[in-house]
Amino acid sequence: MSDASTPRTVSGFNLQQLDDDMLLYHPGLTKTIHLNETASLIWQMCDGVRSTSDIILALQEAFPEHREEIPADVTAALRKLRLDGAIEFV
Amino acid sequence: MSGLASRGVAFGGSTIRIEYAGRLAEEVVSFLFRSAEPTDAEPAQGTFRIEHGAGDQVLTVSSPGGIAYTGDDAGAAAHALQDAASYALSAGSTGGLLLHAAAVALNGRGVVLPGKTGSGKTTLAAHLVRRGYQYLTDELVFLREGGLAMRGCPRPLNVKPSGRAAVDAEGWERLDSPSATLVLPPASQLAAGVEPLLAAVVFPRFREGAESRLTPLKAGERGLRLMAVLLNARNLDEHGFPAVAELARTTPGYELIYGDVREAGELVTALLAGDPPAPTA
Repeated sequence: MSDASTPRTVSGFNLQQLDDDMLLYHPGLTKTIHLNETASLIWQMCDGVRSTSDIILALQEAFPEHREEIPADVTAALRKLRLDGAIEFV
Repeated sequence: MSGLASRGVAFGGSTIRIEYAGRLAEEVVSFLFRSAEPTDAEPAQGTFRIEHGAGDQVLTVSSPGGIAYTGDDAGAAAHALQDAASYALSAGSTGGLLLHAAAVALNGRGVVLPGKTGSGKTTLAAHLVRRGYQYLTDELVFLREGGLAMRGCPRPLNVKPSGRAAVDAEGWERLDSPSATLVLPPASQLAAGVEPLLAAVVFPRFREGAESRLTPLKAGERGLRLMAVLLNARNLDEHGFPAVAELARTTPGYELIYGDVREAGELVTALLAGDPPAPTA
């Protein structure tokens, strides 16, 4: 995974918003994934168009007070989302 | 074989039939299904049979899938029949959420204790029953669609050797086998036909030597954990996901790590009494 790679959500997940968190369930895979507030925000930005660096830039603009830590946080979150099967890279 | 008696058992929208022959088989069936909801309905999940041969005194347990036990150990036969019957009732359950969990109640308020084998849920449930709680189940809890009324599958507790001290009490019936002990609390503490309202979900985790603590779970964590113990997902609309999410939204949930069952019991009792631990940041 590089900053140029483009993540997109894996299709087929049903969503439930639970307070600030999100729960994803894939009936075909019988898999449930819990996303905290940050992970759900990043997951929703994985549209198959924006690259990893696009997502980082967008979040740095939205949260300038956290611009230093955002690149590492986004990279870690995307790695975890991929391991969980919630996203793939195109 | 002639002389077969039978009884129908219903739970969680599912039905089975138990056939039995012989004195010991009758005793085992009475022990296992004494508090079960009777039914005359067609057994959608099949017929199970336990026979005690007159000649060699061998007990045989059979299920729709084949022979589950043959031998002379009544405890092992009961264990095999209980496992097979519970599995079948789970597989056919519909019309609500069936959770892999123990459950107890106090003053009409219920606590569900979900967990895998070895999590300590049965030991904790047994301890709470000894402290005056009503016993609902050690394994299967049913919440009818859209409600919080709890129904437990009222089977004897299946206690591992490490938890036997928690059930060593006067008035409790027990049946030992090499791998486990089945115990039934006194009739006065069985919540047969009673449906307490769910007050909290507590996920127990026994950890040797740990200081007991109860930690509130966020709704998302509750939902994730509840999906992991949902047994009848394939029988429900959208695999029960919206219903579980709604349960997670509306019902408080906690993780209970404990190294001492008495401390754990006190934490659960304080929780039910309206003294929950503060949410973590």
